[in-house]
Amino acid sequence: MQVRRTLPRLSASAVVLALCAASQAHAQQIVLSNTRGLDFGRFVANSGGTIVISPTGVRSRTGGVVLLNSPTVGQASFNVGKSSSGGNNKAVAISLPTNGSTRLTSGANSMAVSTFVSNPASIQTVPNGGTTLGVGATLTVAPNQAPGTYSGTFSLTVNFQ
Amino acid sequence: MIKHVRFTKTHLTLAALALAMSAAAGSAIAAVATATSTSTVITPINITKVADLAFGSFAAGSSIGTVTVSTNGTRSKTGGVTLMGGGATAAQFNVTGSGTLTYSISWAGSSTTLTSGSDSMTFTRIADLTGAGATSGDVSSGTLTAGAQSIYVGGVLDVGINQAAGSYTGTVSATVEYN
Repeated sequence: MQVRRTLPRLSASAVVLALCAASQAHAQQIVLSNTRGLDFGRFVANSGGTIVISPTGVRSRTGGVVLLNSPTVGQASFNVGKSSSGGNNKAVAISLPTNGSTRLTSGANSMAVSTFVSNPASIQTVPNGGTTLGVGATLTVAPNQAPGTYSGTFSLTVNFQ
Repeated sequence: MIKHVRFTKTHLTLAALALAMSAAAGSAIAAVATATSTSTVITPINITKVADLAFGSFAAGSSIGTVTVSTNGTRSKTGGVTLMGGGATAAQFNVTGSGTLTYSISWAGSSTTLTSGSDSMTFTRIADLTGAGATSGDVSSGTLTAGAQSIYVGGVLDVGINQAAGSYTGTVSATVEYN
């Protein structure tokens, strides 16, 4: 009787252990980290308009917005890496924030950030050593937008396919 | 009795297995990172005229001369000119904007002569940012202090021999832009 009870218990424990190991390896296959923020720089609002930062960091404007010299302007950068235990030959899907989800605020004032764009738009395979992902977006500026320093956050999600 | 114990153990193990599987499904698929985004809205730069530049009255003589109004409005002369009634003032522009930003000043559209009908006198601008009485020099850029600065403008008029009498006018136009 003693022998019959012990054997099934041992094998069941082994199955659980194996699953845990597989789970850990899978979770570490992709590593995402933010390496710089998205900076729209300095500008005068005037009659309002938009400021676009391309995913490669080029700034442009529409409407009455006047761009001022801003050395720190640039796209957000993320590093997409993989662990040595996996991640080969897997495409990476990039989920950018949806429109309406991100605002920059300064006290009671705010501006919407929308139309997020990433470069590259998707990653076929993550090379050894990882790859850099640039993210740009469009800032909507109201007429006579109140002066101030505005800030906010947004999140990027990547999935293996 | 023994059968009952065996059932309980197996049941517990299956529960642990189910937990392990759900953990694998939840944590393995996605990675998320958060970035900050920033921008700075700057107060528009603005310029307004506070005072006009006036050379006052003077009489031309039998030799050429000049009339100078410094950046604090002090008038002086050379040559055959005779200064008469006062009223000489330097022009003043007030610039407002943001903090300690720097800006450029362009004088496009400013007159190089003052005219009265078909008569004219050559005008040379004098400008500074202090109104300290400069009698020469010009400015092409400035730096705001607490969002403000003034630009002072005087000038030199070249007066001809027996320059025709009249009221001579011209325009000094200053445009400022953030650097």
